[in-house]
Amino acid sequence: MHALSRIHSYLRTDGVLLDIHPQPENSQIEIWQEGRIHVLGEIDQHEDHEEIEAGRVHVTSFEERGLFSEEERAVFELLEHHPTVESWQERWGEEDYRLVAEPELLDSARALLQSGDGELVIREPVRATRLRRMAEPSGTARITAARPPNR
Amino acid sequence: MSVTVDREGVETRVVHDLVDFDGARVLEVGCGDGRLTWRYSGEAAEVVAIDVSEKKIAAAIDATPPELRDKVAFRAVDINDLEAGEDDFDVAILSYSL
Repeated sequence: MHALSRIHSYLRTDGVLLDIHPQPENSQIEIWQEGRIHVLGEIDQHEDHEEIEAGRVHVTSFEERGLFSEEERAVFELLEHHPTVESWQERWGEEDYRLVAEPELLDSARALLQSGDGELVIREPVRATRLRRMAEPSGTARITAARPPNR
Repeated sequence: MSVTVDREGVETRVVHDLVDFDGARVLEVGCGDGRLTWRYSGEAAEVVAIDVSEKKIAAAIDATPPELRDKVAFRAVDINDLEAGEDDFDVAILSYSL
């Protein structure tokens, strides 16, 4: 059963679903140093974009079935600050992200950071959407998430 | 200097603009190490935060502030294996996990 089905069953009618996920756009790599922002390039995340779009299709399907209703949406930039290139690689490696950044870009980042106090910043576009959990349409049986067996 | 995420507080403001957590029972799916959980759990009545990563859940449990330990429960479990009932929550958060 898709996660949204479970969430729908766990939420009370008129409850709220907050869906936060990255936009299907590449994140930007920057070096902030001495009051200046050096934009070095982008992280190639096109494989993640396909997953994001697939997730959005799922949400839309639940809306079309009358199970959720979108109420409000916001787009913002999530900034992640790292002292070194390696700390970024370690963190995103933990997230199982496919790190696709040109080696020359990473070398530029390291060179700038070594030249003075600064930080590596990842600028990631994110979308947050509030959806209302609707009652099942009339004539529709309630989606019931069967309790898993006790373990 | 350590790694910091949303030092500017933008995500926190957006989340609070969209959702009123005051007294809410919250389910967070994909909580990771609790980074987002700390941004709203103070207002919530109770929080169940889940992630499939046992390592991240262990880190989240370790990092739980004492004042939140009675209301925030972290679980290393898939949403399909979560023992929860109908109408158990007022708010559900899909945290970078759809």
